[in-house]
Amino acid sequence: MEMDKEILDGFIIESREHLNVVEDELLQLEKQRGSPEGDSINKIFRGIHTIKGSAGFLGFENINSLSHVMETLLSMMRAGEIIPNATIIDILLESVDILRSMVDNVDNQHKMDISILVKKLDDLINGQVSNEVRDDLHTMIALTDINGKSTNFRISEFQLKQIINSNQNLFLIEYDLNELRRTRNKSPLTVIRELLVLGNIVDGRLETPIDDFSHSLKDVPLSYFVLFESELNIGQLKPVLDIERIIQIDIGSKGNIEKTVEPMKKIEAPVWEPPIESQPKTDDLPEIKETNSQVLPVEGKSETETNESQQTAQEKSNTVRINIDLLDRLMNLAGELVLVRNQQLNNIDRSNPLLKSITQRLDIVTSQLQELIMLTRMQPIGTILGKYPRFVRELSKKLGKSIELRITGSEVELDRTILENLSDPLTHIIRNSCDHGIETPEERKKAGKSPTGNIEIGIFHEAGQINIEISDDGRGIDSDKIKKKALEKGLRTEDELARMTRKELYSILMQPGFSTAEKISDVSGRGVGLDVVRSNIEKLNGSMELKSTPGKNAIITCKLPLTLAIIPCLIVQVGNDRFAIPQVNLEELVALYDEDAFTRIECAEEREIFRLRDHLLPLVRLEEILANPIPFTMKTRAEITERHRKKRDKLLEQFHQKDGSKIVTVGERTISFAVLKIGRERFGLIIDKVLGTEEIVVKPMHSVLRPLTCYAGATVMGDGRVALILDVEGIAEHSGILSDFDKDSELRNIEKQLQDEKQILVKKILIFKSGKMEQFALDIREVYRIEEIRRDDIEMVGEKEFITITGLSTPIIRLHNHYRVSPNIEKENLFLIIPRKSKHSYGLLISELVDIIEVPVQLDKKSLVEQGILGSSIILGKMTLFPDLEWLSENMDSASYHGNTSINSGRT
Amino acid sequence: MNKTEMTQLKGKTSKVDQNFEIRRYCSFYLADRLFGVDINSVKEINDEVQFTYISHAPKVVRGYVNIRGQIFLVLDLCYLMGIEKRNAPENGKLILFKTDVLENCGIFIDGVGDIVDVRVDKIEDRRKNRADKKLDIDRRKDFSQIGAGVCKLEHQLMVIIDPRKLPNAVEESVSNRF
Repeated sequence: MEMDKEILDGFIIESREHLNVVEDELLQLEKQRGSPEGDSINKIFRGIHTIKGSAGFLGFENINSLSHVMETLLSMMRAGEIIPNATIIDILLESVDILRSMVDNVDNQHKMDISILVKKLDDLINGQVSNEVRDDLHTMIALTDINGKSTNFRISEFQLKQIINSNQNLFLIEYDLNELRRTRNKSPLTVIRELLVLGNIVDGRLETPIDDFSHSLKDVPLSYFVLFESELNIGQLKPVLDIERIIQIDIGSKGNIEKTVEPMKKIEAPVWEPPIESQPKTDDLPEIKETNSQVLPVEGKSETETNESQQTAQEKSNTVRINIDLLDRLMNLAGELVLVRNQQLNNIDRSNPLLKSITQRLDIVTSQLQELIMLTRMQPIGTILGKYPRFVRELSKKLGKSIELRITGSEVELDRTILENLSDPLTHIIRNSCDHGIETPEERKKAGKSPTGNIEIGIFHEAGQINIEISDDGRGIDSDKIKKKALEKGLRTEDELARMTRKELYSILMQPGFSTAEKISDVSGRGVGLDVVRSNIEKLNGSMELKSTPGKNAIITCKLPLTLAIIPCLIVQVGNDRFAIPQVNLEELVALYDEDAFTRIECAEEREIFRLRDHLLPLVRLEEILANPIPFTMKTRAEITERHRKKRDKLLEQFHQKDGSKIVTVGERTISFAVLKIGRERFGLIIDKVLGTEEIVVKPMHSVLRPLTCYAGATVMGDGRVALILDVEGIAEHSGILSDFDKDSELRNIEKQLQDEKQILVKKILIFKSGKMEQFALDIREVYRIEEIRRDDIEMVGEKEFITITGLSTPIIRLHNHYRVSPNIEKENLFLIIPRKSKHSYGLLISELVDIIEVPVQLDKKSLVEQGILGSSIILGKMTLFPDLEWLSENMDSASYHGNTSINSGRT
Repeated sequence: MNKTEMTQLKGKTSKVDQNFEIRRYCSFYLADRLFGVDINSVKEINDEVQFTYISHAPKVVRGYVNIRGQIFLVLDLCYLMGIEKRNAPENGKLILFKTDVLENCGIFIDGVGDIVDVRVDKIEDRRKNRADKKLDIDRRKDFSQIGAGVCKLEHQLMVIIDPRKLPNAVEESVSNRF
C-alpha cells in the first residue's frame, strides 16, 4: 500500500500521545498497588489497543506484535485475572519505551529486536494465570459469521469468553479503503478512530485481489477487514458507521465453533460475498440472527454508551493541530496590522465622529487579535513535565533511593520556543536533586527524616514572569564542601572564599566544571553541571538562583519570560540611532552630571572604570563599539581610554575656568550609562540618551548579518523605523572586557587595591631615594630584606649587573632604567631592596634610605600615570612614587628608558 | 510561464530551441548604468528610504528598512559592482525580492527603467571572456559574484544581475571586512 506521509505522521503523533497517557496511567497504577482501579487499566488498554490497531493496519509488524502481547496482558489485568505488581509494571514500562523508540523511528521498526520482551510478557501471562485461562489463551477459535461462513479470523478462547461475558457483539466489517478515500475523503486512521468510539477492534486484515504489486494500488479495491467488538447491534452500527458491508459473527455457543490449537495456515484472500447471497452452511445453528431482528441484551445501556461516545468525539474536536509556520505567519500579519493601526491612529481626522469610532474599534480589535495570536503560541508546561514522574522513578531505582515527585502548576502556559529549550535544563536539575540532593533511605533515617525523599516542581506566574521552583528535602548544599572544592580546583583563594556570602558561594556551583559529588556516578556529576543549566536558562532570557539550608533542602528557582517574541526593552540613543537593550540584561541606569561627569570615571590601565557602591564597573562606550567593526585589542582600548581621558580633562578645565554651563553643552555635561549583567559579571554601557522602555517584537537578524555578534535582532518601533536590538554578551566580547572577566583576577586585583585605598589604610612604608630628585616608597610588607652593598661588588655580565648575596647571584634593577626618573647617585655604599615575593629574585638598587614611617596612604593615580607605577602620594611633604614590584620583576630584562646607560654613564 | 513563451519571429518549427526563449527583466539605473533583474524574482518596487544604518555591517549593506512591519535588508550594489562614489539621488527606490528568492532582502537603486524582454541568445556571459581587458580584475571578480550576463539593448547595454548570488557576495564581504 502506498504509504501516505500524512497518515504516517498522524500515526506517529497519535501513538506518542497514547504512549504518554499509557505511561502516566501505569505510574498511577503502581501507586494504587493491590487495588487497581478499572479506569487506569482501561485507559492503558485503549491506548495500546489503538496503537496495535493502527500499526497492524500500516504494516508495522514489530509494533503490532509487541502491542498485541501487551494488550493480552492488559486484558487479563482488566479481567482481574492478573493483579498488577511492580514487576509487571516494570516490564510494561519497558515495553512502552521500546514502542516509543519504534514509533519514533518507524522506518526501522522492523530492525528492533523485541523477541526478549515479547517472551518476558508471554512468561508473565503464562506464569500469572490459572491453567484454565492459559488453555483458553492458547486455544484459537476460527470464527464464522452468522451464516456459518468462515471469516478467516481467529481469536483465542479467552478473548471470546471476554466478549461473551461482557455482552458484546462481534462483527466483521469490510471497508474498501480506496473507495473510501475517493468518495468520502476518509483516511484509514479516521476509520479506526470512528470505530474505536463505538467499540473495540479485535483484529484487522488488509486484502487486495491483485497479486502484482508493481501496479498502482490506487484503482483496485483495497479491502480492510475488521473484527469489531461492540455493545451495539448491527442495526445501530450500520447508520452510525455508514457502511453496508457488515456482518455479525456467531459467538452464541461454543459448541459450534471450530477449535484449532495450532496456528492457522495463511488463507488466500477471500472475495467478499454480501451476507444476503451467502448461504448458511449448517442448519443446526441455535439462532440465526437476522441483521435487523437482532435484539440487544440491554437496550438502555447501549444508549447511554452511544451518548458518551458522542461526547468524547465532541471533546476531541475541540482541538485542532496547526502547523507552526502558519502561526508564525499569522503573528507577522498581526504585527503588520498593529503598525497599520498605529499609522491610522496618527493620521485620522478627529473631527469626523464616524471615522473616530471606526478607528477606535480597529484599535481594540487589533489589540485583542494580537493578544490572542500570542496565546496560540502558548503551551502548558505540563507537556514537558509529563516525563519526569517516570524519570524520577527510574533514577530512584537506579540509585537505590526512594523519591517522590510532586508537580504543581503544570497548567501554566509558556511560549513554545521557551518550552522546547527548557526540557534539558530541567532534566539536569532534577537529575541533580535525585543524585546529589536526596540521601539514601538509611541516611535519611539517621537524619531523622522520612525515608522517602521529596522533590517538588512548582510553576507559577509572578510579576509577568514564569517562576519554576524545584525543591528537594535532601541534604542541601554544604558550603564548606564548595569552599574545599573551590580551593582544590584553584577557583578562588582562601581569602576570597572567607569573604563570600552564601549566595556568592552558591554561584561558584554554577561555574563550569564544578561538582561537589564525591563519586562520579553515571547519573550525574561528570563535571558538566549547573553551569550548563544556567547558560541554557540565560539563553532564554531567564535567570537562575540557588538557595539551600544545609541538611534540610535545596531550592533552585528559574525565572523565565512568558515569551521570547515580545520582550521589554530599554530604548537608548547613540548619535542619531536608537537601540534596544533587553530589560533582562539591565541592572540599573546611572547618570553623572556636571563635575561628576568628568571626574568620576577613572582609568585603570587600558580600561575606563566607575566605582559603583564599592564595586568597580568596567565601562564600555557604545559609540566606540559601533564605530569599530573589529573586536577591540588592548591597543584600541588603550587608545579609546586615553582619548576620552583627554577629552574629559579638557572639558573639566573648561568647566572650572568659567561658568561651565555656558561653555560645555548640556550633552557633554552628562554621562549616562546602563549597568548590564552577563551572568554574574557587570559592566556599564555608556550611551548618549535614555529614551524609555518599550515592549518590542523581536525579529531575528538577517541571515547574512549573523556574524555580527553585537546584535540580537531588530525591531520595528512605533514610528515605523527599524531599531537594532543589542546583544549584551556580544558587546562585552567585542569590547574585550569579557576576557577580563575570564582572566578574572586582574580586575579583582585592581578592585581590591582600590578598595584598600579607599579605606585609606594606615600603612608602614619604606621611603627611599634612587636618584637626586625623586622620592620613592614601598609598603614594608613587600620588602623582604635590605642589603647594604659596596658599589665595587657589582659585577657585569653582558649588559646586566649582578651581585652576590649570601652565595646567590642576584640581578640588579636600577629604577632609572625603567622609569623616567633621574639616574642613581653613585656612592661607595649603596642599598639593595630585596622584594618579598616576586617571580624572579632581584634587588632594587637605591642610593639612600630616608625613613620607615606609618602613614595613611591614599594613592593618587591621576597625577602621574606611568607604566609600572602604582601611583603617587604626598608623603613627608614630598611627592612620592610607589613602584610596582611585580611589574618590575616581569620587565626587569627590558629596560625601557635610557637604554643601557646603566653603570658606565653612572660612574662618569 | 516564460519558458513556454516563444518568439514567433524565428521559431521555425515545432522543435523547441531554447535560444529563442524570451526572458523578461525589470531594468533599473544605478550610477547612470542600466541593470536588470529577472522580473519573476521581484516582489515589489518601493520608495521607502528610511534606512536604519547597521554598524559593523559591510559597506554593501545600506541598512534595514521597514516594509509594512517586515524588516528588509537593503543592499547597495555599487560596492559590489566596483562603482565608486556617486551622488545617490534623493528619490531613490528599492527593488524588493520575493522571499523564495532571497530572505527579506532588497537593493537600493537610483531609478526604475522599463520592463525589457530579452531573447536568451542575446545574453552574453561576459565572465567567460577572459580577454576583456576593459574591466579590471577586481571589478570583474566582484561582478562575477552577482552578474548573470550582459545584453545589448537598442541604445545601451544592460547588465543582468542574479539576486540569488547576493547573499554569498555579502557574506564574503562580511568575512573580509577585517
